[in-house]
Amino acid sequence: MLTKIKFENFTAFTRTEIGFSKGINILIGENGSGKTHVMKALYSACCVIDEKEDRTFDQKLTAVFRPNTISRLVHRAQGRNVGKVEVYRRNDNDTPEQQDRMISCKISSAATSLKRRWSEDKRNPATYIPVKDMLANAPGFRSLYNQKHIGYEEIYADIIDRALIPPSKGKPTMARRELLKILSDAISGRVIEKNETFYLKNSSGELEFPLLAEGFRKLGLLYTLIINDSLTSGSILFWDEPEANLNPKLAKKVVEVLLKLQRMGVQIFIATHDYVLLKEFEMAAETEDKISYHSLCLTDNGISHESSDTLAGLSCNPIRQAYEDILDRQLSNF
Amino acid sequence: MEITTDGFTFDFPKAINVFKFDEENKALSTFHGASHAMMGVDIMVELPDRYLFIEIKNPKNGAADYAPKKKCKECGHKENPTATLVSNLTRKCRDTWLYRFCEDKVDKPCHFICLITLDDAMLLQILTLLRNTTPDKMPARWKHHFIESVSAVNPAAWERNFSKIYGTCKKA
Repeated sequence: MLTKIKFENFTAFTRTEIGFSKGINILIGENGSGKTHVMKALYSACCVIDEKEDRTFDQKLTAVFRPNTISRLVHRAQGRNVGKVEVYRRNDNDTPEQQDRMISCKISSAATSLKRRWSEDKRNPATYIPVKDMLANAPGFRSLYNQKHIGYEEIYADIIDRALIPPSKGKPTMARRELLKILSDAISGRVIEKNETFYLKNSSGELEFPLLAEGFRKLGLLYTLIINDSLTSGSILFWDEPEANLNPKLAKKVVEVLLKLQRMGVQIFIATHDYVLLKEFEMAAETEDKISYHSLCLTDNGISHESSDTLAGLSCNPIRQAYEDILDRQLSNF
Repeated sequence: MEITTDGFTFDFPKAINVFKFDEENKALSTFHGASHAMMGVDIMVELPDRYLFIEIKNPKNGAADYAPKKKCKECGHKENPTATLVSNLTRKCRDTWLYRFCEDKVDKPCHFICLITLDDAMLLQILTLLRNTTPDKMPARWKHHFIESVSAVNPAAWERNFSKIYGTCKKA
């Protein structure tokens, strides 16, 4: 599990340290406050120890962020041209006395230096679901991405790779069957793949993904990731704006699935702007669920950060502030 | 003038009169006396230029007020808790206005304020439904004003919007 991230003059951050829950971590903040950058940096670090990844942390950061040069990731200010990101993790079997394992990348215009103390004995398969759906674009995308320079961040190619992993053999566990039922009920069918094309299959036949509502494609992707064992105990899920293209009524299903995944041992990171999603978490979470809310706030001195076990515990909550503003305008208008 | 009820203490510095509107104590001059037939708000405030009808709702305590009780005639489904809450608040407001009309005490504009311990987003939904139950313009045939305004606030929204013009509201 990931335990902490530290930024020093990295992208939007000057100096920030965020500690994480082993369960669900929900990042909120205005546009430009760095939520996606936190998730991308964490994801890049996780990928470095993936069995199929042979690149270094800085190379993965470059592919995931897609700056013109890696030095563009340094938060520029007078007298500063060095940036650093450190990501910390623990293995489940680490003793309390053992220190968290750290991986870091120090970037300057002249050179990039790496420190790596992450053992490779315990991998945490990481999955990043970007805001835009990619399953409808899956046919041919992988070969195009591998052969040509196209303007997509690597998270888009990675999610297609993940989704194209074939379903696991054997009977799914009870917990996985429950998750698949929630999702198949929500999208009225199950997801199959033929020649890199995804279909929703039900009693009416097979519907190719480009003809499916984008919100359903998102849930279909989750279905695929569960059925191919990408989301199992010890794995890490990053989901940027789960609410995008999703009717608020489906937020309840999404939260139900995420809470169950967390109970199965998946560590989850979500960036959201959605009140309904947050409210569903607040209402559906049980005492033993591990949820942390992290707020990134734009201030005159850069980005400040606070974390809390409850949403109400955050003093900076732009979603609440937006509703507060509408309510006050409504009250003065009668 | 201060009043404490339903877990909140209000202080209205400019009030002419403040009393518990649904008073059950027969010995008091403010005894309601018609609560078997009519509903009433919790607090009545008389200010120099207006009356405030204040109703306090804590959804965590008063679940009975919001539990679906009947099927709606048009759809055949049970009313949802929000609709039940809004219908309860609407009746309290209308019965109170009627009671005050019979007292000859609607000589100033009447403003209905619901203090509800819900967050701003949920209050917005209730406020929209509640305002739909009260005409925002006087119909041409009316000779008398009815409710001037309807508001739904939580303690924080009260502080932001009403503390300077009416007075404060704090948890007792």
